Amino acid sequence: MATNLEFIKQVVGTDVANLELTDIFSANYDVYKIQLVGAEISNDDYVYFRVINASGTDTGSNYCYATLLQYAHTAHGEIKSAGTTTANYLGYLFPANYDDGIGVTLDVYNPFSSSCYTLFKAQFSSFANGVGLYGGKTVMAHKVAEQITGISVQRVGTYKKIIANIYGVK
Amino acid sequence: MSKYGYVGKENDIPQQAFKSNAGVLSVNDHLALRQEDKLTQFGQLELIETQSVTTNVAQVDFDTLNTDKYNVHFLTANNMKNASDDQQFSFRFKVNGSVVTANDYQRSISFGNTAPTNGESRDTATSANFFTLNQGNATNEKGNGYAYFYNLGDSTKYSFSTYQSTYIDSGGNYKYSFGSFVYDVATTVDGISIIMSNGSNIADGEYSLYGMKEYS
Repeated sequence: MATNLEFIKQVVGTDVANLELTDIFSANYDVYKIQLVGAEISNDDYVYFRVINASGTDTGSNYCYATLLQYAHTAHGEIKSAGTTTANYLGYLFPANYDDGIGVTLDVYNPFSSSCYTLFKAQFSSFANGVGLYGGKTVMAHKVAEQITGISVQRVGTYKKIIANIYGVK
Repeated sequence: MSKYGYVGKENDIPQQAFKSNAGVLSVNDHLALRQEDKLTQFGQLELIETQSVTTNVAQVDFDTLNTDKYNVHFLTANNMKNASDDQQFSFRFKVNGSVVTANDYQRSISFGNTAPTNGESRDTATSANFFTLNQGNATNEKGNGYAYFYNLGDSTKYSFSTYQSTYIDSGGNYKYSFGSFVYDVATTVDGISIIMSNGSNIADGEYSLYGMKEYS
């Protein structure tokens, strides 16, 4: 009997611009949990994502977000926007060639429903060498009532390595 | 002799793996594949250990992490109570079996409560990663929360955590905290220790550690 958390798949990206989590959403679950670990990068920047629908990756101005950036070295900051082309943020990694990892838990609600928006909630712990801890909590929405099948985890630059584990919540 | 219901050459017998089992599996096949971690069984939030505190203890240690199986751990704390008023439940890691008490952690926390003051607590060199802040310990003042831990078994990565808690503070105000911390040393962590940041005792609570099972 299926119970609680159900492993869907692991995706490992090596030397990729985007970590493509394809065909992870289905009618089997309404809620999903995605965890990112083990990040290594080429150049520094924020981590964010876009959704994948039947036409591919949605690059339109269909996202809104509100992020609380919880720095360890200075006062916390808020960043938010409506009508953006990316769902922000899942962390920040610095500098170029940083290879000390990341910890992200991203919860996804109703991605496979074509009658409601897909909502996201994330908490992350990331790091900037020479600066400090970049923690944060964020909520995002993909404001299109459509079925989405996956997520493209992106940033400016490439991931030398990153691992995603995807679970369905039964 | 057949295997998984197949008769023929070894190459004709299907390879078994999680979410990719094939053939007719006997009871013994189920047992063997389960031991080999090749049987499809859902329920990937796997309980490692629960510890119940009913009398004062200095710390709650989780020394079995099974990091060969888990990249991410999940901890729940129910009805946690401090022996001394106005204290912080905190996390530390263990390396080679010893608690890391050096200022090798960084933390950043947001808190809010029913009193008018919300705020933040942060430090770039600390030995105390606050899970709760100024928690009270009067009758019925117990706290609850959860935490994720990432990369503990990867010797090439820092160990990260994200967490959230809710409790009553020493002023009697309902309060929440959420945040993260990092142990900014690339090494293998082999234990998690829950302490009070000032060295006082933990009086009560049930603490459970789970592994987030994954398959490559």
